[in-house]
Amino acid sequence: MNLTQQDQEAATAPSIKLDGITKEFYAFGRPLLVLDDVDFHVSEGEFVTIIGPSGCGKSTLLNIIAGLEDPNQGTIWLRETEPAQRLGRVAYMHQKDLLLPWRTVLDNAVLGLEVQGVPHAQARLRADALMERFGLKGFERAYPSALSGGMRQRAAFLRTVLSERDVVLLDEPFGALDALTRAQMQEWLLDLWVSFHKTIVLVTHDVDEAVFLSDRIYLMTARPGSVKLVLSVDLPRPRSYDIVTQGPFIALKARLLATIREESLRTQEEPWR
Amino acid sequence: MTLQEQQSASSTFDSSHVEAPSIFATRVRRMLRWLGPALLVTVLVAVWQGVVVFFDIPAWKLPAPSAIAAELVVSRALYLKHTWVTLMEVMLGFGAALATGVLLATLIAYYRTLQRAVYPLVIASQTIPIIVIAPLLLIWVGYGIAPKIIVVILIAFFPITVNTVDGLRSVDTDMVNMMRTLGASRWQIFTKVQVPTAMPFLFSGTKIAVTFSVIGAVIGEWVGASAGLGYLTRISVPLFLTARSFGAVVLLAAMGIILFVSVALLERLLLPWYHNEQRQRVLEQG
Repeated sequence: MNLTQQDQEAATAPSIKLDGITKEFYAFGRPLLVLDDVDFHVSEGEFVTIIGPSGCGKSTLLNIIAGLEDPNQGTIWLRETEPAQRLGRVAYMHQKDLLLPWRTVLDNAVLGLEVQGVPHAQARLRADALMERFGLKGFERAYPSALSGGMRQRAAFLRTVLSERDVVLLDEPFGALDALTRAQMQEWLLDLWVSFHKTIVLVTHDVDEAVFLSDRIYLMTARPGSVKLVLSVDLPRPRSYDIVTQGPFIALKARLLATIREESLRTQEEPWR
Repeated sequence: MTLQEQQSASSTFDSSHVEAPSIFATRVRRMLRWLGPALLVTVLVAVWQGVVVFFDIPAWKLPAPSAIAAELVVSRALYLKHTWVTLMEVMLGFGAALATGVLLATLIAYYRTLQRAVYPLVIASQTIPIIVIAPLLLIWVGYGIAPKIIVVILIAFFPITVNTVDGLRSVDTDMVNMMRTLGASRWQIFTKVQVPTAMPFLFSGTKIAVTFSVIGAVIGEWVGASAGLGYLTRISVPLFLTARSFGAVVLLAAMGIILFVSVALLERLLLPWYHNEQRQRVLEQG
């Protein structure tokens, strides 16, 4: 098990590697340790999930990878280099869809290309080619306010995918959706991941979602956030939603939940959501 | 039920569900919405007319609505000439105020140092009563159209500046961060996120400003002028031509309303997304 994982790492270069990341915030004039010595890596094409209680700093970790924030200590490698400017290097999708309300679906989708200076006509062509795949065909000229929650989220996805980065960070992208839409979107995301060959880092607090989607799961402790457990999910792919009631899935889920319970008993501070 | 009907009637996408009666109901409702205010105005005018006739009030004291209407028709050439003068003052002054307001707001929102230097001056400019400045303007720039335009600018630029600054600042930080992760520059964030966010605010300020512009032109004309509707009200009252004065006031009010409505229509035309969103919000809240 350990050996195969090492083999994998040797075969594919780490897309992201974080080493000893520590982050402090100042709240009411006092330093608050949010991330404590976090090591983290994602191989190219891998689907990794970070799971942890609310306030464990998992969103902060994504902000650091995206370049929105800098750590107090530690180093960040993107494709084995240590870039001074990480902004614009990885795609980042927020929990909120953050569609610009004054832009149509199509104009929202091409935002990333537009910022990069791709000519409008060319950007439109690339977006048009994907509208069907993202279930947005016929809604290209609609404003976000006319769309359902699921459609808005898919439009935000399209914008993220069209920004054409190898690495995609997803911060609880399905958090605001109802259970049914959510399950559909998860399957749809897996499908996309296979066909677009992206490296994905997903943040969630949903155990089922983590096991269903991931190659590996990082379980984080409550504040200050640190890595409690790294779990490889060796379920066969492609996966369909049937597996969530089957033995191997349940065994992995049980292992995660047990560690979570142990952790929340230890801290007793922040209840698990 | 009625809400759903309205929603499906207003939605571009599932108009197939709309049935004929609901369109009819919506139309009736829309007509009723106009009927109320129209009825109120009619009643007020009728009461005014009745009071003047009943108590036999002399026309130089309080002219009846019918007398004002008659004056508007009889002296239409005179009114046309003076309306044109005032309209020019309003449009030129308002145009300059819009340009000044937007420029100032952009500078204030984009450069932090300018914000500290300029914003207090902008506010201070409003604490000096315009009635004090207006006569001085006559000394400085003379009797022509220039002092009226300056008064209009001084009154109208303020709501535009303040609203636009607020709009440019009210930007969603998460949206800005999203733009940053896409690799957007500060200028790209400004033009693609901040400016569109500020547009509804700019229009709010403009609606106030365009109405104030009419007041500004009248103040400018009252201090010293030889033409314009404000000038007409000023010279008519001492001559006991009260109906003529009232006629000018009616035209000034009409000018203000038409300008306001024009800006509102322009907003609807230029910001369709904003209008949709507001309607959506109203429908959701019931």
